[in-house]
Amino acid sequence: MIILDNVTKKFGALKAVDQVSFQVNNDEFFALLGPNGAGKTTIIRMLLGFIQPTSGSVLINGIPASQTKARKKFGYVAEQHMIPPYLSGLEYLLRHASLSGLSGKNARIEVERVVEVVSMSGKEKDKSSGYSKGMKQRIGIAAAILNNPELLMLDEPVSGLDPLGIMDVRNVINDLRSSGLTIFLNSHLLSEVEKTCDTIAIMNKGRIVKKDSINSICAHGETLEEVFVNYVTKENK
Amino acid sequence: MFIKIILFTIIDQIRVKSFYLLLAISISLLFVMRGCFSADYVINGQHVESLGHVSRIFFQVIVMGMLLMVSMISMKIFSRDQNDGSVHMFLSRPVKRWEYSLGRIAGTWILSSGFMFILHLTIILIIWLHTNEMPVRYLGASIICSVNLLFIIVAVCLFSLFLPDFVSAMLSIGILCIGFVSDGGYKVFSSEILTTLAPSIADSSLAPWRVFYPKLFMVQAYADSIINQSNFMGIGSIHPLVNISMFIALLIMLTLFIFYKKEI
Repeated sequence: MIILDNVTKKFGALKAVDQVSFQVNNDEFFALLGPNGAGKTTIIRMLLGFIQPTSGSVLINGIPASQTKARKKFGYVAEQHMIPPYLSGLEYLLRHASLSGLSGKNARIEVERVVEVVSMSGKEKDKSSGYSKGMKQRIGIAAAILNNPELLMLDEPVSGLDPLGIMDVRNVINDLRSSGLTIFLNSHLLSEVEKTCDTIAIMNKGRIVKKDSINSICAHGETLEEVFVNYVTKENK
Repeated sequence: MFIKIILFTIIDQIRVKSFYLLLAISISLLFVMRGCFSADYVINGQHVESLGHVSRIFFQVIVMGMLLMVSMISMKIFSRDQNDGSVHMFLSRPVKRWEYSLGRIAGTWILSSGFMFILHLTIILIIWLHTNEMPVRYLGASIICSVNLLFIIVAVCLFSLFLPDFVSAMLSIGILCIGFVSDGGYKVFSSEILTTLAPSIADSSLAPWRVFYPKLFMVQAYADSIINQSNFMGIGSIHPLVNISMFIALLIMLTLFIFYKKEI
């Protein structure tokens, strides 16, 4: 589904991503972990086609991520999802539905469905300027799962949420996971990742320092947090 | 997708109440000043046909006002989308970058041209109230002047990709002003009175940049000649509409190229 082959991204003299290669298979729940500034969001931006790699290739279903075809069956939730303040949640979702090829009654039905999934029924007609962070995040997830995507890209989806908000979003993600989606999660909330993911890649200073299944990584009774701290501090030394 | 983005742009603009307020105030002002259209003007002791002159002046004032207004609206197109998440909404979907950027530009142009068209229509209405005649040539002239609006929108959008918003708007207005001074000066110096009084000034040749500079003023002069049903005399052999269209095409290509390379 996703292939990054020897990808490097430079911003001036800074190497944000340095020769990163990995693969995410269909139906896999893949988590990319790393401290702030490790290069996780840069990878997400390359997968979205927002920025181009300096070298290497980023493919989604065999199509370069920069091509719009790669985003046909694709959902994306940003860290602190932004919704234009003049739109209501419903209008925002209808726009997403329209942009993903749905129209008329089909769009309405699909929007109603995703509003139910993220438990926003009854609040979807309110202006988004009055939404809390958690509500915006839920609407973001609703937009991402419109039109049954094959790949869901989550960039720090619970960042800035209170414990209840985190639990809500986690429940939504777990429900989605059971529906057989491929999920690419970018997070530094290790306890969340440990509970949900199949495969983990740990990034530090733009490089992948470890990639394996969650069971192999935590095989010796260590928690993911301990493994993560070990790898990152070892690299920093 | 391109059409959808145009529609979203228009819907987003017309949902703002100040849009209707501004339109209502502008129309009301025109009606309040309708007396000017039939006033008795005397210049050098001679009575002047007021309706034609005043309506043409109002027509051009509306265009100038719209040029300033669109420069202010356009400077925020890309930066507002970046700040409120609209750009992520569009580009995380199967929307091509050219569809997004051209859709935003085209939407703004259609809306502002519509706004200007309504104001020009009001002038026609006032003339009709005075004379019972419908001078539809004003509408043709209005469409011609909308090309100038497109030029300013594209210029501001292009500059806003690498300059602060307000600087982009000011730079575009600067281009407009230089063109108006240069071509307006040429028009004055080539007028019948001046060619008679001071033939040496009138005969002086133009610097090449003045011939190829964006002919915003000349487009309006051309629109005026349509209203006035008079002969149009431009600068050089290239028609001002061709000149402006070439500049618009160039600016659009540059905008698309820079936006394509832009990191979101």
